[in-house]
Amino acid sequence: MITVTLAGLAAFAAVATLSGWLARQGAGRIETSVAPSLVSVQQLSASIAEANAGATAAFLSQTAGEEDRSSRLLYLEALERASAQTETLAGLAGTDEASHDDLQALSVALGEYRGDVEAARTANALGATTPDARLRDALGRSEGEMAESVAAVAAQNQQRFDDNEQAGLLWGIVAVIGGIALTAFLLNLHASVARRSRRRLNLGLTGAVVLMILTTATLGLALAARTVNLSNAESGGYDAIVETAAFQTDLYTVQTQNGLDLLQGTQEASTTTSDLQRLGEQADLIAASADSNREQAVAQQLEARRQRYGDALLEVSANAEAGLTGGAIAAYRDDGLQAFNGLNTTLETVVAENREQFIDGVDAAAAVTRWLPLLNIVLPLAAALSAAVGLQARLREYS
Amino acid sequence: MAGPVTAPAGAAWSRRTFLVAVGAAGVSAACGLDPNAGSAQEYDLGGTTQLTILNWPSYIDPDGDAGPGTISRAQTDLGLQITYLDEYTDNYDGYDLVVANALNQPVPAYDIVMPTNWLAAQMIAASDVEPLPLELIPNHVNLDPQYMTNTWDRGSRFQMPWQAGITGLAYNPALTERPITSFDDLFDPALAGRVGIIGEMREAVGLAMLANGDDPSRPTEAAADAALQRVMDGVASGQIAAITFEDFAEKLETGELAAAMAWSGDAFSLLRRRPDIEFVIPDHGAIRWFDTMVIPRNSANVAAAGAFMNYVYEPANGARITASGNYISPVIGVQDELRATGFSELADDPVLFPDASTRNRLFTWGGLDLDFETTLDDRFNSML
Repeated sequence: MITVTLAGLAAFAAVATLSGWLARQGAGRIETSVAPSLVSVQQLSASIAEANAGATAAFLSQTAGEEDRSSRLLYLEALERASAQTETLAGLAGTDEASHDDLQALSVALGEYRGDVEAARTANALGATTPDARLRDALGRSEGEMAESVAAVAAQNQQRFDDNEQAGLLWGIVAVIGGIALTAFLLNLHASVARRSRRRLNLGLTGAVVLMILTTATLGLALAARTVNLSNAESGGYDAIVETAAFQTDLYTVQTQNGLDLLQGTQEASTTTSDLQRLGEQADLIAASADSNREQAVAQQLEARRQRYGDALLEVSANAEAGLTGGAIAAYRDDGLQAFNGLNTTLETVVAENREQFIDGVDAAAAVTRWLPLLNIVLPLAAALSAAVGLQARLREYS
Repeated sequence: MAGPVTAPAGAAWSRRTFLVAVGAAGVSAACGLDPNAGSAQEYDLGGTTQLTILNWPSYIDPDGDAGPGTISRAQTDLGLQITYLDEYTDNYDGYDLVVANALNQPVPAYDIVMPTNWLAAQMIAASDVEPLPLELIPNHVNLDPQYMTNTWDRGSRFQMPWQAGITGLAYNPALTERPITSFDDLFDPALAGRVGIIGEMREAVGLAMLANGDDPSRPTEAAADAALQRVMDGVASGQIAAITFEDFAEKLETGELAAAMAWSGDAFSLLRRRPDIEFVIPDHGAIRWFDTMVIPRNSANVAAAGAFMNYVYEPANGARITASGNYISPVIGVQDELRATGFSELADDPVLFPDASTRNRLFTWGGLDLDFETTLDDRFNSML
């Protein structure tokens, strides 16, 4: 009986430890590489789109006479951020070859993109006949191969998140079921021993039962807490980051397209109105997912800044439709860019708030699994020792 | 340290001085600003009603004949007990002697301090400040976006600008006998020994960088080093006779200097007294700086600090501060407020409210590696 009991406890310890170790490894990978990667890839997408908006605005202002320095800075800094985020992602990709291939392709494309923008700037300064051709090449590149690389890296990281989120869960369920069965077995054994013994309470077996309950409960609760924390982090933080990044990308696309339309003289108020309506709907989604006073305050600020941006764009399109190209460009360059910067940086604040929420959730998930492998060895071994002591005592009593 | 005060009284010469001749209260009255402006809106202070503010001297509208100043009104409107100290005299002393000491206490002595943008950037990087309680600052939406794009605090989550200024050039045409339009002009041998520069490294070096064709908003170590060397050579040769702070105005006024680097707010005041003196934003551009409001780490009164920041970001209150100090307001709506209250002269001033073209020529120091920047500081300060 001792052998069977100890073998059962050893098997349980092995499965529980494996489960705890896998869970901790998975949560650790999410904490140290997957979660930062997920955030970085969303920001990378936004940075590229922001570079587009800055490059287009700088180009347009240059065409109108004087390059707007804040737009040029917006472009340069966004491009630098994109490069830094690409490097960060490469550093976090570990041995994932597919991610490395995509990031390398993106890195090359970023260099070509920069070359196109600079060539367009030079052509514009020199008064070339079609100076915007290279700018369009750059924008096309960002919406084509660069966007594809970013999407591929995002999908790979999402898969890594899902895989690591599940890590250790199956073994954990097996361990919990085994733990319950083993506890029941020990209780039954205790009852059987007690029936044949002078003592009603076998301290060793009782200790083993208590330790098994503790181990099984710890493992079950830790895995449940990890799952809940990761799920909350994903729904409360990461999904909001994705939502906000989508808004950012859409905003930059609207801003870029407005600049291009002004260059071509194809600005239309109806397009502007539908763009603004779409941005409004996205802002509403962000406001709806704000789950703290602080996030709600930022969402309110976002709405106010979005309305200012809308007013500025409507002024641009009204001027353009009235044939006042100079007025339209001035409105785009002055109030339009200021309103864009206000909305853009407020979106950064929204992202920062959600990033903290996401990282906090992931950290909490990692924290609850940190001691699991150790506990899952120590507690079952203690249970085995306690059971052995209890059964030895019964044997001594019998002999 | 001074005990609780109700409000700063009177005005004194300082880096941020204005209105010696007119007086802040007089201007407020003249421009029709309601001394009781600013709503008595209720704020959730989270139980804290104490607030200690450390600001530069003479940088806020004081109590006067026209009515209570911003601090007094904030005390009444917000129900706060405000200790207002105007002892922040420069960023080095301010940080080393006051702010750093405060940060080493379990609870810092100040709830709001006003470091200049570059120092705020360093404090944020060092986690020396609390995140702003945005839920208590709905007027954050009134922050001018041009102050929100700094790479070190995009979206302005850790600081809000208090006031901004321009470091350009001022000169007395009667003494220079020529227009001064570039930092290079300060090196005209005809002006030897009659030229002054500002004693803030980032502004002096930044302006020299602009003259050299470099961009101080994206500085490189080589460019900053070359610019500093140029300034140091100018001092060593005697071309540059004085390294000044707010006293540039007095030295220009007395004729001790013919041309000098100048702060826009003090220059604004000087030009009122001496319309023959010129203040220019050089062709190559000028330096724009701003002082910030930050909440030191572990402040016990974060909510009260947030309420005060919200208060001064109401355009009516921001207009009073601008009318008093004559520096650039970062608050959207202040220009309209000034115009609506009948003080169009201020509202239309291109230095107080630069247009897009002027803004395009203003550069804010972008920051370098901290160790290198400290070395530059040490070399520059060795000349003081």
